[in-house]
Order: sequence, then C-alpha cells, then structure tokens
Amino acid sequence: MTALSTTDIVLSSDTATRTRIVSEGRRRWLRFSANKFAFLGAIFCVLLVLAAVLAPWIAPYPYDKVDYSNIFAPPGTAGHLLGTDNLGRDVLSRLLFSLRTALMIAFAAELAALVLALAIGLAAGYLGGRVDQLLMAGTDIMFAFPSYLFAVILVTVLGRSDGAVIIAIAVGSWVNQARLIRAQVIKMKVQEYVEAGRAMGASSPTLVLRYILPGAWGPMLVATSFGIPAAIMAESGLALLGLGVAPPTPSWGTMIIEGYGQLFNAPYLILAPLILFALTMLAFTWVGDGLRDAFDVNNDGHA
Amino acid sequence: MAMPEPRRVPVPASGTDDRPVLEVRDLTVTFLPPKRRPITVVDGLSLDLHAGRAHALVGESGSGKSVSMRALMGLLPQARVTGSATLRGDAVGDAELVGMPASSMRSVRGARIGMIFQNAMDAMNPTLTVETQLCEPLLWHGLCDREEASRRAVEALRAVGIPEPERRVKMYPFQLSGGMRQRVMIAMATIVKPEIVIADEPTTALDVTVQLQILDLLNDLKKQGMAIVMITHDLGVARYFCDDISVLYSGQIVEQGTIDEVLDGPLHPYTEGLRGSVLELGDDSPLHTIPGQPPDPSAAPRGCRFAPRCPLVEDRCLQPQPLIQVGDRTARCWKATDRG
Repeated sequence: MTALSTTDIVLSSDTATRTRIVSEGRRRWLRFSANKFAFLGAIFCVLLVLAAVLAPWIAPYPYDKVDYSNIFAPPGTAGHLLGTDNLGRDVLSRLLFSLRTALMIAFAAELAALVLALAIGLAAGYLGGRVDQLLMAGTDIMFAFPSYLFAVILVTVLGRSDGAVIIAIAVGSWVNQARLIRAQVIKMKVQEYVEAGRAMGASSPTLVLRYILPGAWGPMLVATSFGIPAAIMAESGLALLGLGVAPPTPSWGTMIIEGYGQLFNAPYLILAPLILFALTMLAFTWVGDGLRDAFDVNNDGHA
Repeated sequence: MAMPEPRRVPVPASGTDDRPVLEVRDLTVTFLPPKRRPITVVDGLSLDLHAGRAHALVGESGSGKSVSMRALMGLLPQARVTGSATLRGDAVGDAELVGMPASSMRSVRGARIGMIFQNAMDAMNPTLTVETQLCEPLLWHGLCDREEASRRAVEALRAVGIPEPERRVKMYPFQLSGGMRQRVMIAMATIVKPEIVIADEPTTALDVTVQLQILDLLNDLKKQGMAIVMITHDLGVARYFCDDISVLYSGQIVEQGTIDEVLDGPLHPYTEGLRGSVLELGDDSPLHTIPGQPPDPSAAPRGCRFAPRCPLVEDRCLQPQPLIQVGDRTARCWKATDRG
C-alpha cells in the first residue's frame, strides 16, 4: 500500500466523487458495515433472531421433555449436544427456548417503551410550555426511581406472566427514550423546513409525524438498539430472583440459577446459558455502537 | 449591483377594482420572553398589497421585515400580534388575519398566502421527495386527488423551468443544485396558486446569474396577478423587480412609496444612507456607510429611532416621530415636507 499507482489514485478519486453524491441512508450503511464488530454483531443478531423464531422447529426436543433415565448427561452425548440437566431435559433445546423468551420479552418491552416514549416525548417536545413541564416532571420522577426495583414490585403485584414481565421492563426503560425524543423534537421543530411546512398549510400532526419525527429516527434507533440488551438483562435478572416468566417456560435467568446448584457437579449447566447470554449481549451492544457511529449520535443519544 | 433595465408593471388601469389584496394596518408584533420585559419588534406597520404588483420590504437585519410577514401568516404563536390585516376575498368575503383562529389560519397559509424561503436547502424537508412536497399542499387543502396532484407537480416543475421534470420530481432535495432547489421552492409556494407570495430574500443565497433567472420567474408570477412581497436588503434587486417599497428601521416604516420615487428622491435620511451604501459597477465614487448601529429593540429611543445615527439630527428629532404624508408617499421625518 506504500506505492499507489496512478490508476489507484484515479480510481479512488472516482470513488470519492461517487460517495459524495450517495444518499445519507447509503452513507450510514457504508459507515455501519465498515465497522467489523458491528457487522459481525449484526450477523450474529440475525442468526439469534432466526434461531429464536424457529426454536420450536429446530430444537431437538421440547423444552420441558423430562427423561429421568438420562439425567446429567455430559455435553457431546449422542442426541444431547450440550447434555441434559437434573431432570434429563435437553440443554440445547432449553437454551434455544430461553433465547426465544429473552428476545420476545425484550422486543415487546422495547416496542411498548418506544410507543410510550414517543407519545410523551413528542407531546412534551412539540407542545412545550406547561405540557412539557408536567410531562417532564413525571418523567424525572420515574428517572429518579430505581427501575429494577419498580419492575420487581410490578411483577410481584401483577403476577409472573409474560405480559407482566414485559410491562415491568417497559416501564423501566421508556424514560430515557422519552427524554431523548423530546430533546430531538425540540431541536427539529425550529428547523426552517418545519416552518416552511407550516407555511404551506401543514397541520400539527402532519408536521410532527412527517417533518419532525423522521429527524429523530436515528437517535431513537440507536437508543432502542441499546435498550434491547438492557431489556434482556432485566428479563434474566428478574428470572434470577424467581420473578421472571413462569416455569416451565425456560429463561436464561432460571437456567443460570438452576445451574448454580450443580456448579461443581455439572458446570456446563451454568456455562451454556452464561456464554450464550454474554454473546447475545455483546452482539446487540456492538450493533448499537455501530448504529451510533453511523448516525453520528453521541453517547447520550443526541445527534 | 448592476441590473439590466427594470421592467415595470403598469399600475392597474383605473376602472378595474384596485382594492388591495391585503390591507395591513398598524401591525404590531411583541415578543413576550418569560420573566423579561416585552420587546416590540414591529411597531405600527401599515401597507397595501395589490394584485400583480411587488412590494419590497427593505431594511437591515433585525428591522422587522421577516418577523412582520411571519406574524401575518400566524407563524409566530409565541408573539403578541395586534393591528389588522384584511385579506380581500371577493367570493368568500374579507378575512381578518390578525387573531384568526389557528384552524382557519391553516387554510390561509399555503392556499392564499405562499412563502418562499431564503435558503431552499434548509426549507425543504430532506426526508421527502420533491413530488411529495409539491403534492402535499394540494392534498392538505383538498384541492385535488393524488393522481391529479402528481400531474400538477410535474407541471409546476416545468413552469419554473426545470428540465426533465418527470425525472426530477422523484428526487430528494439533496440531489438538486442550489438554483434548482430555489426553483422547486418557488414551485412549492405557488402550486396552490395563492393570491399573495411572500419571498423572504429569495435570491440572497444564489449566484448572480441564477438570481436573475429566479427574479424572472417571480416576474412571471407577478404577471399572472399574484401580489408579491419581496423581503430583501438588496436595493438593486428591489429596484429591478418591485413596484412599491417600504423601508423599515428598528421595527418601524421610515419611508413608503413607489420604488422609483423613493429610490430616486428619498425623503428619509436612512433611505438616502441605504442608497448611498449600494455598490455599483463602474462607479468609483466612495461607498458610504451609515455610522453606528440600529438600536436594541428593547431600548429604542423615544424620539426618532434613527436620530442617533442621523447626519441631520436636530432637537425636535428627540420627540416621537409620526409618519408624514408627502403626496402619495409617507416618511417618518420632520424634514420630509421640506425635501418633498
């Protein structure tokens, strides 16, 4: 690479001209895919999502199939790639279904949080004044309240159902997003094209949804992509306390706590969920990092 | 700036109804910053807009040119706007813009008063195609269906001289050149055929050659009978294009009349100063600047606001200064009658 030939230079300047006129979206994709960690993370995330969706079909056994004749089978046993647990249940199958639980809960919780954050952030940012003060006061109170504690209380009150866990996690994670969206709306609403839209006769909903919101998508996407690993963490954390989804639905948290009991007897029981959990967290975080860089958003999520 | 011979639109022949399209009387705009004293940025502005004529609003930055027009369009919800602005409606009856409820205002904005912004890049939604942005005003105002709107969008682009409109209509603003964007901006402001077009420094951000093309386009609109308000601080552009002029200083009109009268024989020392500070090619005489700066709107002098900078200032200038009628012009100066 030390000696560039003339053709190289011509070629590279040609590429430069071409990249200059590519759209913002394409430029973001180029920046994102140039980040190897983000790219690998994205591929891994896609595989995880596929595995979670297809779990009932690709898992070798049902997650609750008990086989007392074959308990604590070590990894590599024929028919049980990652072995079996104290009830003879297939660890690989349980891992896949735990992944399904984790992603389902995380995505649902983030979606619910996003909807709530959008409603509150848009209203506060666009309307301003009293509405803003009131909504933000509420948001700040939520922000000051430990969200994990709140989730524990909610699940205790609502009972251990999927819905309760989703609500508990969503309630803990909308606050940041709402603040972020509000900040973004305040920034976008003074843009000249928003005034131009209003001058052409656009109604407030049109302005908010078509002129202001599109400018906030980037930071929102970034915040959501960081929200997903946080939600996975929260789900496992609740399960660890015995407050996650109700058994027999498997969850990494439950698997880890069960594996902990057999730490010396069968260490693979705790290692398998821990490793997949760590890889999943890492992959989603790398994707978040890549998106953040691609959208030029700083650590607080502000563009 | 040196401009070719201006082309004048004759004053509408008497006999036709020459009631103004928009009659602004005593428009006052006051900002009410929280926990601070209110600031009056436009003070008692009156002007008439006539169909097929262009009115120049000239003045330094902060003189209230843009603010007054934005207030008329109800784009300053945080400001207190008083006075009156009567929009003539031959079929639907006159409409009072000051204090109009927001819902009615929305059907005036874009439909009856269009606005062209200075920087088309900033004034176009970067996330929507040219077609969408052209069609939306038509759809918002319920003027036609989507199919018809798309057809009109292409037509509108062709009308503003954009080559290959069928292809360009699918583009996003960032894919267009600066001159092309300004043309699209004009198409956006005029696609609904408003009676009044407010052009806020439409040529300031453009190359001189493109400036002339844009002014020609605006001239076409004028010929079609639109009333145009041209906000500018370029007297060359104003003279080339406009028929009437209002000179603003510190939120007040200091001189108003037809453009030739005002620029050929200014009655107010400020207008004279402005005229003296225009750079002309081939003119080697020294350029005059007006010493000093316009007053802070929150601490305007009680008397003539230009007095601190005026070369002809006298004791009586420290008294509040009304507009004085001289012929069919007005000027905010005691000496106007002596000069006129």
